[in-house]
Amino acid sequence: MWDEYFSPKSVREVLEILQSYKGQARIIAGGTDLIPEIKGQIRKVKCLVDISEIDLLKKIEIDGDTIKIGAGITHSEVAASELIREQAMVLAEAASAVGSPLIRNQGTVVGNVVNAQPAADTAVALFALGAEIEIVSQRATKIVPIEKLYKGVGLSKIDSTMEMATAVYFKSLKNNQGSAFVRLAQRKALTLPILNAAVVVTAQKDRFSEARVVVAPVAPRPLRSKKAEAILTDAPISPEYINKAAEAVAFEAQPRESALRGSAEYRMEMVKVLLVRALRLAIQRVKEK
Amino acid sequence: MTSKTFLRMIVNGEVVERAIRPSAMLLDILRYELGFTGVKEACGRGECGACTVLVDGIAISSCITPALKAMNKEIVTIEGLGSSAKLHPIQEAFIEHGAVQCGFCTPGMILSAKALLDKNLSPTEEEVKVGLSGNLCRCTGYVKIIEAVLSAAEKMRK
Amino acid sequence: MEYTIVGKRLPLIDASEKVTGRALFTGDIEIPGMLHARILRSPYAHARVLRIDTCQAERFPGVKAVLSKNNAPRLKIPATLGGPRERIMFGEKVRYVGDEVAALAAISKEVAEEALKLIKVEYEELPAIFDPEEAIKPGAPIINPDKERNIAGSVKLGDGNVEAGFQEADYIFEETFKTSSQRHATMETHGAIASFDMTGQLTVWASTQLPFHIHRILAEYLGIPMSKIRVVTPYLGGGFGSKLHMIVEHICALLAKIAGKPVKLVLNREEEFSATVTRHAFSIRLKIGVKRDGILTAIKADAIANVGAYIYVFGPLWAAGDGLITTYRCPNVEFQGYSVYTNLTPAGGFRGYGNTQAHFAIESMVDMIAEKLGIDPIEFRLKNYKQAGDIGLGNTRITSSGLAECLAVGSEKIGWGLRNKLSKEEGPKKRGVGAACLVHRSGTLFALPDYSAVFVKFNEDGTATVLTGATDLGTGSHTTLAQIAAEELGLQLEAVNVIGGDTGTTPIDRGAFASGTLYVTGSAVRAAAADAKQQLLSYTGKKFHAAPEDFEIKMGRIYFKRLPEKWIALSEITKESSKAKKGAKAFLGKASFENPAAAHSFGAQFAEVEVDTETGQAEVLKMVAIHDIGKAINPLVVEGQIEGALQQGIGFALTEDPIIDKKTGRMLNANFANYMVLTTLDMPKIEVGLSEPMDPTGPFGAKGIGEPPTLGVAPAIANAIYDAIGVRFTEIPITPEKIFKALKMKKSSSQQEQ
Repeated sequence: MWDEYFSPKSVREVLEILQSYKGQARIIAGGTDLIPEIKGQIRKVKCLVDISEIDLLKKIEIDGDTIKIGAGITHSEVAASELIREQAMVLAEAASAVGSPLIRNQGTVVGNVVNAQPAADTAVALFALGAEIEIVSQRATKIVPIEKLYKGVGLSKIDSTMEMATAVYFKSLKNNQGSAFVRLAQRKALTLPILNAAVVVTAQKDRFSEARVVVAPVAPRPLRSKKAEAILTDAPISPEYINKAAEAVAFEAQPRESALRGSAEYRMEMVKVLLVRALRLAIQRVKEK
Repeated sequence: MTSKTFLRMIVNGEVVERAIRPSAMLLDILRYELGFTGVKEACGRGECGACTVLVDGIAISSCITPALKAMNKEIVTIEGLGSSAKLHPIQEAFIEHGAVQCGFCTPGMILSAKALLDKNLSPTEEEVKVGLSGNLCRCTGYVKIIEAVLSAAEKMRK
Repeated sequence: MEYTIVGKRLPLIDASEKVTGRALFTGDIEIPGMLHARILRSPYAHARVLRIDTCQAERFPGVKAVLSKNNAPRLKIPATLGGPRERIMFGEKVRYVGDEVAALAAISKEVAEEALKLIKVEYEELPAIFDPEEAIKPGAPIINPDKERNIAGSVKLGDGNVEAGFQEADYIFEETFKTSSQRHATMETHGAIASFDMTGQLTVWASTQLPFHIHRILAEYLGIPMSKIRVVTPYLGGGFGSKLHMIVEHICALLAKIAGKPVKLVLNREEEFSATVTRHAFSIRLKIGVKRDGILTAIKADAIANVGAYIYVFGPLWAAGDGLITTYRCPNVEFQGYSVYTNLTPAGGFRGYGNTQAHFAIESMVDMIAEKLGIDPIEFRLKNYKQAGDIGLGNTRITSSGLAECLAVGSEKIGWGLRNKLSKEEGPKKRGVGAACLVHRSGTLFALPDYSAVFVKFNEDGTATVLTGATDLGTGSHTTLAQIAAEELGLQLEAVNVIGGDTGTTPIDRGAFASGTLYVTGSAVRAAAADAKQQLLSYTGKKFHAAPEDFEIKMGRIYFKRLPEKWIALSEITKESSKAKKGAKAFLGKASFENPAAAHSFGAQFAEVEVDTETGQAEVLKMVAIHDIGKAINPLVVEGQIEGALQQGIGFALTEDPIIDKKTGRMLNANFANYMVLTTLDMPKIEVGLSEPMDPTGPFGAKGIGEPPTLGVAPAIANAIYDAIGVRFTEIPITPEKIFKALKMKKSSSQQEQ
């Protein structure tokens, strides 16, 4: 496995190390995805740069209506955060669903995005929140919408040998917004989902204004269903529209046959079921506010 | 010749300083080098909890944690809990309630329970289940384990 | 009967070792100079091993021994549990993905891992077959050239005339039931350490359920006398039957011989899941004839047991047949079963041992019958189940039964009246209640040698030591055996210690299987304790000019029965007898015990299940398990056995699904992430109860508990699912997708009818 391991105290140091190793060094945060991959020989790495000691990255902050979660924040911290529970419930729910307490204690929310696994629970929630990732390199700092960061299964556009994701930003949910995260799995812990879905809806009285509807793993990346969102835009809140939207997601989803997670047919049907449940729950939460 | 790197950590209250392979897992150092055989290796992939140890009070799977992550941190293995003179209330409760059968999952289970109770001394049954959901057991069906943790919590509250 | 120590809820005597992490399991033991071994495994399901070149591996720095077909013995390896000799170490063929091809020992695991990659193997791939029903067809690839049609063995059992029986029947039911190759998933993987000393004495530390079987077959295999071998069992991290077979010990021993150093071999999790043993997957075609009034007239069962690549034991096929035709009263019964090879992981012993699979079939069908006849399923079972006095399993007489009480208590706790009602509730989630009866016998009388020997000695200070070959897998047997000894001897539990599972220092034990340790070894302990006590009281009698029967021992005091104020500390006698300069005596009790009977343990298990009809997910909300185990020597231990078995049973029924690639035969979920054993969050609410009818044949009236609680879970759940959604599942595991598909079909066929 790796020959060198660094635990720098600043982002600048991280970037210096990455630069000097010319692509042979890789960032590790919690390592709950990365280490099993390296142990299982799916990834090879010469040098690891551990960012979990950088204090600057270990914050959850709110500035106006923008929430910022640093790259050092774990799933456990997000799940327990009152701020997130109150203002971005879908993310707290997703974080609580990841693996097990042991995994949640180390795995990071930002790491989940960078690792680019299609069913990563918190990444799915971040899609629904319309999140953006701050990426830092020696040359520049950029803020990129999360949807633009996926190249393929396990392949991020973020090059962890040259640049670093330092934070994720998203808007806190307003009073006319509700969110939900739902998950279908073969067991209640320690399991990757058969399907997970995250929705954020904006609604007034008995009409949707708009919605963000995300489902995974039905594609190499979490899928935002533009068709479903179109159906819900300015639509009445009714079982008819909720069902139509759910069906649209299923149609766009086209999940593949999986030996471990079920047939394409079953998963397609389940997309519908999950989306209906997610939308109903999200609406209920708007009404409760 | 593999290069070695320096690791310093505090294990069960004692400072440990060693030259280690940079790619060693915390499990490797604790179990195979320092001889803490209470840290079990049962899957090597962070999927069962048998290797659970506390790092600065937080329960983690030591088999997927690079040892260097423990630099200058306080590690607690099962060997650091209680003493032959006085067991920790969680250990006593496990004995009393029949929460131990083969004992292989027990060290990890107890440490996860400790991490839970150190944060919350009045957990509900559901919270105990969630807290232990990363620790697999094949012998007990978990019933008496949960009873033991709730009972220990009650004792510890007094 | 009230006893002082027997019958009490007591913690395990070794629990403090386990909660402190001090207990040493095989993998924890370090011997100076010890090497680490790894096994090279076949990537193919079926192939000839044409050539193997280990030269580079042998030369790799740090490698001290290499074994392959080039140098391993060509002897057939003797098996445990009366299994046939079939395997040759590193044979000419590999028969399943994971089959052993070579092994080596090196100075560290890492070196062994690296060196393994240097072994060059030339395979000639052969066509492979994974479905036993296809494997017995003409033209199927032959796996064992010594056996035709891939049939490893067959069993035929019967009584009466089933054809006549079916003629008499008013109704005939016929159905095929299928069960999976469930994995044991013990938390501790298989492992062993072997070490030869300079006198040629071999010591083996092994994670095994039967050290004495291993001792015997190792001696035979290695060609050395049994007096030159000692097998020691350290703490064991679970077995459930997986550790009834010699999986690594012989490989370890040969490597140790070559290297001249101790060798440790511990399997990793992937190997544990895919290259040890599994439960026998069964296909059972069951046909039952009944009269209108509910009396059974004929039971005919045909079964195929998938033994995988090698046959380790014939027992489960026979036990399944026995279970199918013996559980219910029926004059005409017939069973025909075949053990069939496939290119899959070999099957072996697994808690329930064929009877679990049989129970799924028969306890499901009984519900189907009861429904058709309009009889309550519990009434039906009470009417037809075998009772005390009947001839039961293994052709042995049933010596006691608490089934009626189990059914009565359990049906009340689950709310049996909710059947047919819960499912009517509105909403997509439907609930149902189901039940199953169960019976399993304790021990293996008539089927396998079933005897144990025990020594009980008094120490000079009046404490006692039990020397038993029994292994405690976490089953609490050391504790319950200590309780039996203490009760019999009249000592406090703290005054008794147990030394167990060491073929060098403890006498022969049957092994930990077939729910027989307490039942058989327990009686041996009692007898040996009684013997030691008799010797001590004889000495005491001589001293006080009385007969041994004039005394009794309670809490370490010897009381003169006729004058209970007169007592002497037992330690006074042992001190005196050991210090005497003339007339000194040691008190050493011994017993070799074979139980003349095989008590049957009964039980009733109930499940309340909720099915989410939109997703197909079935969740067990509550399980009630009432078990008749005769006298519970330690109710805390008994409850723990039941609760643990329920976790395995629910997994068997719903979530544990070994997924095998149809093309390559490789297990795709050989890890804890994808082979779903239940976590804390998946367990239902559980209520356990014990019925304790005294059994005249067990120690203090006790019967076995290890296996019975696995038997009724799957059928109780399948019956509850039927109550909830009206769909009968005959194949387990009952996965959400299967439920979803069945509901969809049910909906469309009922729509067609409209």
